[in-house]
Amino acid sequence: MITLAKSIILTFPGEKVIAKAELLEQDAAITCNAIWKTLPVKGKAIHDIWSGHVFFVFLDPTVVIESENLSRPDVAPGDLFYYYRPAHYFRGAPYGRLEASEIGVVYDRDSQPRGPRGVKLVNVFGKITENLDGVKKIGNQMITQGNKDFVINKA
Amino acid sequence: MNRKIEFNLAGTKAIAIMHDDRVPKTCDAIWKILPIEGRSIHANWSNREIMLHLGGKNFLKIEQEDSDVEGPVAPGDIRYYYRAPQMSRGSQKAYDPQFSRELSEFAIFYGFPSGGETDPIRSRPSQPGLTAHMLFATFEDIPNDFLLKCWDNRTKGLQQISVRRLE
Repeated sequence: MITLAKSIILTFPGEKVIAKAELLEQDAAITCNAIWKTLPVKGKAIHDIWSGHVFFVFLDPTVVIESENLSRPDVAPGDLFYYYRPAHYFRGAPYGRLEASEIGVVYDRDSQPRGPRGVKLVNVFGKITENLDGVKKIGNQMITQGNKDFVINKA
Repeated sequence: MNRKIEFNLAGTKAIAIMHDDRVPKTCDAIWKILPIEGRSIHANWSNREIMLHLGGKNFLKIEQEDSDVEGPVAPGDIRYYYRAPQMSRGSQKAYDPQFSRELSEFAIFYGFPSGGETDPIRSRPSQPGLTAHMLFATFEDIPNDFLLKCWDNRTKGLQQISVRRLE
């Protein structure tokens, strides 16, 4: 019996851009399952300031998932990842959050998840399969236009 | 005597002291193009840094003048940065086309210690002659409203910025 991979939909309502991604359940079953349960995720996508062509959305409330299918540490365009930052891991409260969990979206090359301590390893759990070009366009727009409304939902 | 310059970011101001004693040629070259204005853009590889790209008649290509540029930068550092077109694989599509490959800019570090020129898009590995980065000024103080405007670059997009001579 063939089991189809679970898919999710990434939507930017303000730009009317939609993309589709597949969950990497074989490599990151725990993460995929946990992320699936949190959907839909709605929030502001914010462009990363360390990692290159990456934007992310915080998970509210914080979701803690164990490490799985970690980046090595490079990532590729279209990768979706989960990252958890424990309280006090960085000085202060970055983004006003003592601890945080996020879904990151890699939209172009020359990217590597990083933070104040250098490279950070992230759970790679999904891959954009449709309309990466649209996501790339939004990512570039965020550099000059700021945050964007962002929704992740089950397909 | 160290000269001073004033940054005006969307109506908020901060004053910086130039490092005439360390990088006099760089300071002279920058002094000559002041006042300048443009729109600041947030960095994507370097933590809390905004940039003012120097284009058109203000494009600056200055030779490396000081060698103590490795390592993280500190909040308040303002660096001049030049990147030759060969240093950039592809192009940076979010930038104005004139800056997508060859680039000169002021790099303004406003937050916690940052990656600065050690980030991957800049000079790792360094390529002598193809990049230059000099710490040419440091803010005397960074008022909170100026800091908040810097962050607005990330969350709200480009901000109007100007730099002028003070003394």
